[in-house]
Amino acid sequence: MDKKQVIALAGNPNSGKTTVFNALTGTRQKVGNWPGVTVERKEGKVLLGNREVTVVDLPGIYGLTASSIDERIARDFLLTERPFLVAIVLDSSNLDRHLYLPLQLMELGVSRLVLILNMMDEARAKGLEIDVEGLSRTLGVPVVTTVANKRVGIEELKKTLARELEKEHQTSGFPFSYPEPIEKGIERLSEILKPHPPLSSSPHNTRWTALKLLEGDEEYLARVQNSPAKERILSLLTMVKEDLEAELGYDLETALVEARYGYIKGLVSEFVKRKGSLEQRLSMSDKIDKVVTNRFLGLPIFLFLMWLTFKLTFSVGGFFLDYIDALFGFLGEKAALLVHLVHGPPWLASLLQNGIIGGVGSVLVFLPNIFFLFLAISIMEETGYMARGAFVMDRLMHAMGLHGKSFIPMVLGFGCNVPAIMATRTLENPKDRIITILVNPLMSCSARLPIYVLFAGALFSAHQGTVIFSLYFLGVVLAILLARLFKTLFFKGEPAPLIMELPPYRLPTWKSVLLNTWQRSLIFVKKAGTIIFATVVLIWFLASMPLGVEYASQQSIIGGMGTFLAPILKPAGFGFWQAAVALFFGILAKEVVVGTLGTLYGTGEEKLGTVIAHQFTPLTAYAFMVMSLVYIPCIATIGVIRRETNSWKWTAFSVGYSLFLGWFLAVVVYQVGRLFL
Amino acid sequence: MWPLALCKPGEKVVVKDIAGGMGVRKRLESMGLYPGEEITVLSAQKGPVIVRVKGCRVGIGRGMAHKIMVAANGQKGEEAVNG
Ligand SMILES: Nc1nc2c(ncn2[C@@H]2O[C@H](COP(=O)(O)OP(=O)(O)OP(=O)(O)O)[C@@H](O)[C@H]2O)c(=O)[nH]1
Ligand SMILES: [Mg+2]
Repeated sequence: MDKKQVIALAGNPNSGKTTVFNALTGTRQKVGNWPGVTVERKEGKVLLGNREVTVVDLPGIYGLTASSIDERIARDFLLTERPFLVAIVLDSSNLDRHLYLPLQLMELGVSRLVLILNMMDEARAKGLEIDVEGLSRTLGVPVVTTVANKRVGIEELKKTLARELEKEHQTSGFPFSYPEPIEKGIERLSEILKPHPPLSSSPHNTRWTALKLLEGDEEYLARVQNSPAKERILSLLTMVKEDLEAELGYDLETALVEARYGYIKGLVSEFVKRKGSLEQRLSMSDKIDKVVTNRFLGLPIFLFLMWLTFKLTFSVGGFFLDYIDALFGFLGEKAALLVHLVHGPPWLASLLQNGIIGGVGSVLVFLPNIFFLFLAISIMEETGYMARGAFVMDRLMHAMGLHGKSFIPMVLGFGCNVPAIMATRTLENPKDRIITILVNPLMSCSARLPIYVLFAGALFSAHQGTVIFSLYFLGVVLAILLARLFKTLFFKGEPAPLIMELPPYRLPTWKSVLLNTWQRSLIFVKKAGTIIFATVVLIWFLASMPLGVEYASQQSIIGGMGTFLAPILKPAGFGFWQAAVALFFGILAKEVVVGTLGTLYGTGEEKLGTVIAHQFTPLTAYAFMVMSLVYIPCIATIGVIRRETNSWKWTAFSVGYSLFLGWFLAVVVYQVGRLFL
Repeated sequence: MWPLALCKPGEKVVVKDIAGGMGVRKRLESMGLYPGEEITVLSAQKGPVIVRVKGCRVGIGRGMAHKIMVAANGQKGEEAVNG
């Protein structure tokens, strides 16, 4: 990658980096109104003039000291890979804080900067007027204003970026300096650092190292430990620090921070004019928060929203289900008829009707449910409620030995466990993180939804809502209990303190919510077209072999496989071969459980649900659903667990405990249930 | 001086001292919360405390809120020399 072609987007969390990235590159990376949406670096291309340039979107950071993995990714990219140009995205309505990061980068010696004052609409609504020109002149860097979600200012931004890429390097005279005594201290320390290249590769770098040492930065202190001049540097450091603190009258760390923010305050009061009253009234967000995070109302509101999500997913989604189901049944028949009419081979008719339409169709019918589930999650993400949920649930999460931030991956897990597990990167404490990863697959992801709807619909028609809800609830309860257990077994100690920014509530545009929902639903459709399709064809093939065998009979190859596995499931009450192979192939993706049954049972006139109602009793069906909920994370989730824990041990543990627990709980449900029913 | 956890909603206080590891202190600093800064308490109930710092809302867990010492606005004591 040509160095001159890389632009990095940095900035505080939730400042709109990904929105700017999407606007520049035309991609659709995930955007959401809570800090920590982006947890890995993403690259895209943008045409600036006639030159194609790489833009890198980074996770948000507040400063240059990273405390979680996502922050480390951003910081390391900025500091070690040194992108040619860094564009910092700031929330213009809160420059008091958002200018801190650019100031740090300037101090570090990153001179090719562009400031993007995003969210100008919100600044204007607050009555702020920003002297962009003045700010740019004083800081010596180009400043552009945008409203990224409306694409306002993007063309201007492109022009500025293109211009900056062309410009020859120029050291901007950075205007900021610390109070006199501190500057002297920095100089004294720099003198002694200069002859030691690892600590000072450039004059700027020397100054930065000196500063970091004065601040007591552990990373830099560790670097000094490896230097041959260690003793001399450390003793001078202590001396300078003591002298300074005596002179200032308080600790140096605070003095340094205060000086930086003092400078920013100066900038803001010079270049940001506030129209209207200065008095800080409670904003709309504060008012909503008063209710939503209220000690007594918070939890009921949260539960109500969950119930609403649930209702939307199953009632409204279910409304469409029957129609789509009928459509697929119709298609299957017609396809078979067509093959017959053109005198095609009977196996082709079977492949189309049983395999593809029976199998893939049985999964795709759940698209409406999944669409509404994702719609509800998207709304939670884009309004800003997600971060509040973390707050409301903080106390409950403490009962699990975790803290509120672990809540977000849990909710995301209702959609899909893969991105949910990635979202744990924002947790500062590695122990908290591993626990959160280990219990995440217990959140019923959207792929398990078809299993629940199919079985509950077939056997519990009157109480299907309650039955499905009980499974979601069981997953959550198991997650809580197991988190607690893992905590006491493997990860003693306090969770990291909860510190989290609450973004303002934003009314999401329908376009962005629907787009977000659609994109996730599309992943489901793509999965149906790829892995589910392939598995279903494989199952059809195995069910038709050896040649001449009755389709999907016990004598077929798959029948043999299932018969071999089934005895294990006998104590759980569903020890027949179809259930065994469905669960077996379900490891590939949980939708395949339904797909397999659809392929195997989709033979006659009867609908899948009817066949299931014959083979299962309500009790065995419930045991089967419990097993499907717990028994193993799907292949994709296992992969992401391996990558995120970076340990085969924890991956094996996750697979092992869930397999055993799933089977065990299914057996318990069946055996105990049998005593009463 | 008293811990942030004991503040009432609506109270304006000045941060005096932050106990806790370097990592946490640095994180709070980069979010604008450091000794000498004035903050507004927006919500303080059984759970986490929500404060307004430099125009942004920041939630702080109960445990941490006990480690942040604050004082009433006005009696600033040794005030900072700004750059
Ligand atoms: N009103 C307004 N909202 C914006 C603007 N730009 C982005 N947003 C919204 O701000 C929120 C955050 O945007 P993102 O692009 O996800 O922010 P980010 O900086 O990538 O966030 P992280 O990845 O979490 O660090 C989203 O809800 C956006 O729709 C803007 O100019 N005006
Ligand atoms: Mg982002």
